[in-house]
Amino acid sequence: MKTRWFTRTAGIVLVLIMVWQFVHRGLVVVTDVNPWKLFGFAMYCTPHQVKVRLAKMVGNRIRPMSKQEIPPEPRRALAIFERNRASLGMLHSHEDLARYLAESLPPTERFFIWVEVTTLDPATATLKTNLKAYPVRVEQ
Amino acid sequence: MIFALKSKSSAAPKPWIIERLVSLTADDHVAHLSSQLSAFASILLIHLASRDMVRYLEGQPSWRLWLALGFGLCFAASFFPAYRRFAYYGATAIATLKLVAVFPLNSNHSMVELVCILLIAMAYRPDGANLAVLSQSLRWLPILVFFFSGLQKMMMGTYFDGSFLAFSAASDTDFRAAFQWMLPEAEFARLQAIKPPGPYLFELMYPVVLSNLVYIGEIVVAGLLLMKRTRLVGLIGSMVMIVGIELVAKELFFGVLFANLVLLYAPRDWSKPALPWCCALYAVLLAVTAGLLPEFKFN
Repeated sequence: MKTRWFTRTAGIVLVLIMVWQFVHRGLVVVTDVNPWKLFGFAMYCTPHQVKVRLAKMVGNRIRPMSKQEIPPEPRRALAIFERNRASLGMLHSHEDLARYLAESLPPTERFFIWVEVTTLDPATATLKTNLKAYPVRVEQ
Repeated sequence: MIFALKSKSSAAPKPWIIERLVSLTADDHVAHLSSQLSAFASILLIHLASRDMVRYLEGQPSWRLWLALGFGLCFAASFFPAYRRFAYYGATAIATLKLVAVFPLNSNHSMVELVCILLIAMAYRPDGANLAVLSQSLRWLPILVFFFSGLQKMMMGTYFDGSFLAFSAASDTDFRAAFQWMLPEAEFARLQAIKPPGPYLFELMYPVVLSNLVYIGEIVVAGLLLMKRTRLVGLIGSMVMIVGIELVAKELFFGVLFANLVLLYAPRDWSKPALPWCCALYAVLLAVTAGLLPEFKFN
């Protein structure tokens, strides 16, 4: 590559890295992207623990199910979802998993994908867990 | 005559802003660039090969072995000028494949490695015409990593009161050993007794001061490396920061590569003498992982 073009290309790469840091920060705040991942230099800033479980409606409350209650195939799908969600946050949609679960779970109960994201709250120095529960629409 | 000179200079193309940005890390020591950058490229290639080999020895799938062998072949080829181009292109292709295969679990370190090998491959010319710009662009990476690491710590706000370090001392095994050594027994025992959700706070003042020095230090050394007059101080400061971080986080693999990126600021070629030492260190880490040497924890 000619020196002039290499200089410009290298400059663009460096500027992209700089701009990405701010985009990454925005994604961490808005979509729960893992600060330790995706080329944002925010390692060792906060813990980022993601737990994904299956939950079901018991009475009028959503209750997370234990591993033993979940059949092996959905359990595997949940593990893959958890792995991707731990890096990508809400950029990794729950919809494919919900559709898959809808086909493999009994239609008699209402199920939810239960996502917990735990980080360190700087205001209180305590662990704070954000919880989201996505409904799985089992076809009747 | 004056008019002729003026018209000649105005005919020269004006550099783009990004060209000027890249050249901010330029300096006058250019005589050793060829051997320094060749040595750095070799360190990067043996680093990539060793890291995947360690992952394979730790029990990860066999494709890690193939990646390690691929990078190892590139490392060997990089010593022969006739094959050097293919070594850099091949390593870039393998690193890109790895990025895609591992996504989204890639570490930030692997991204820095990819940018390094990509710049080296793009810059390659047998006449070495791009070496100065390659050196300048690689020198930007420690500045960016230090500055944005410090800035992100400030934006997250968990270093002002030391809560992230207190949390890590209380729960993370990598940090625990370092804090056990740094803190008085009673304070360490108190932190260990904190149960989730906390609060995770130090009772002593000096760990809080240390916590604040981390992001301040990262931002300051980035500035010192950027300014031509303060680069030597920046180089020393960066090495102190890297050693400090390694003592706590034990990210030996990336620490060695990152230290070598910082060494590109050295007034002499320190990369070439560093190459055999880096190879020896990676050999030790491989031997530890294979169980041939006593175990110690590193990442």
